[in-house]
Amino acid sequence: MTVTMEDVRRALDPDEVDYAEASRLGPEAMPHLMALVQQNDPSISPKAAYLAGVIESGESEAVVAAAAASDDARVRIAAAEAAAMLAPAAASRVLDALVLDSDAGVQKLALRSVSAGLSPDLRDKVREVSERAPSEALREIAGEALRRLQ
Amino acid sequence: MFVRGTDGSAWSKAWSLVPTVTLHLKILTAPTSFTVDQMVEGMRTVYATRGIGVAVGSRENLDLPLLTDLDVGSCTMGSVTTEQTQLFGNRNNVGTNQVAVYFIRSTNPPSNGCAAFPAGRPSCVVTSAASQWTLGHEVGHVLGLNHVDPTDRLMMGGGTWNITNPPPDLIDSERATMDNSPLTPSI
Repeated sequence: MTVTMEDVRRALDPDEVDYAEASRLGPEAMPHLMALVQQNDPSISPKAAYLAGVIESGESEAVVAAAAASDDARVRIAAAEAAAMLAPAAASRVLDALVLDSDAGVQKLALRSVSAGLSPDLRDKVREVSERAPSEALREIAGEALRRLQ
Repeated sequence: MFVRGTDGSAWSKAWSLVPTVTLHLKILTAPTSFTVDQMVEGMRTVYATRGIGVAVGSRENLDLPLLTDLDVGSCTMGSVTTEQTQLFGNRNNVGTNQVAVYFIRSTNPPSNGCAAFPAGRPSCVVTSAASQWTLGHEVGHVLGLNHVDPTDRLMMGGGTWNITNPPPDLIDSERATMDNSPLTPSI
């Protein structure tokens, strides 16, 4: 089955997206998801970035990484969420910058995506947040992430 | 009701009771495509076509930076996350059978809104990327409405950004469901 942009939009346009259902589009959706992330449109790019993480594909990391580089925090937040579904090496690369993001919401989601098996470099950055973040709540979330890493 | 004017003349007016949903607007992050007022006005316009009133009971800004990107899990009615429970605990001014609406930046996973709420705390969230009709759509869920297919209806499941022939419609059976909700007392 050929997946069209129309198919992808039909899956992602609902106000409440069913990502399990949308993931049935499979890896053929990836080029369209990349195009939607690159639109940098807050109404659709975060959904595309997240779905790229849900769908297991060799192209998932590239789409999620593109979202992680967005100048819109809402798109970076989706990248941070999607990173939790990537393989450990890919997740480490995506989360590397996001755990020290200037936006507290991005940091929160990036820290929540940290799990065992991620890179030692990332562990150092999580430790830094656990010690130096201005928000006590964020320091606690980083502390929990650090415990998952050890 | 009789009212005496400043010139001493007496006026009378009869009001009929209208089923009305009362919203309490809790703003963590303001929406970016439409203002909160535009969303409320859009909702009023649609609900009025079926004789349902929309009142704003209160409005407040909430400084909760770690809840404005909210974990909503699967967004299933009756099932909520720890973060939703935390957020929906902020119920200043919200009376029994009234609805708290939280305007947040984003949901995890990303959606335009979510109407899942814990028992006894009718609530929904609307994200900053929502359409003009998302507020009315999410409150529609809170009042018991389900998704439908026609694209010119408020509850269309294909996304309120894609609504055709706006303002969108509510139909009689939806009106009956809304009217039967304890959240639309006649006032």
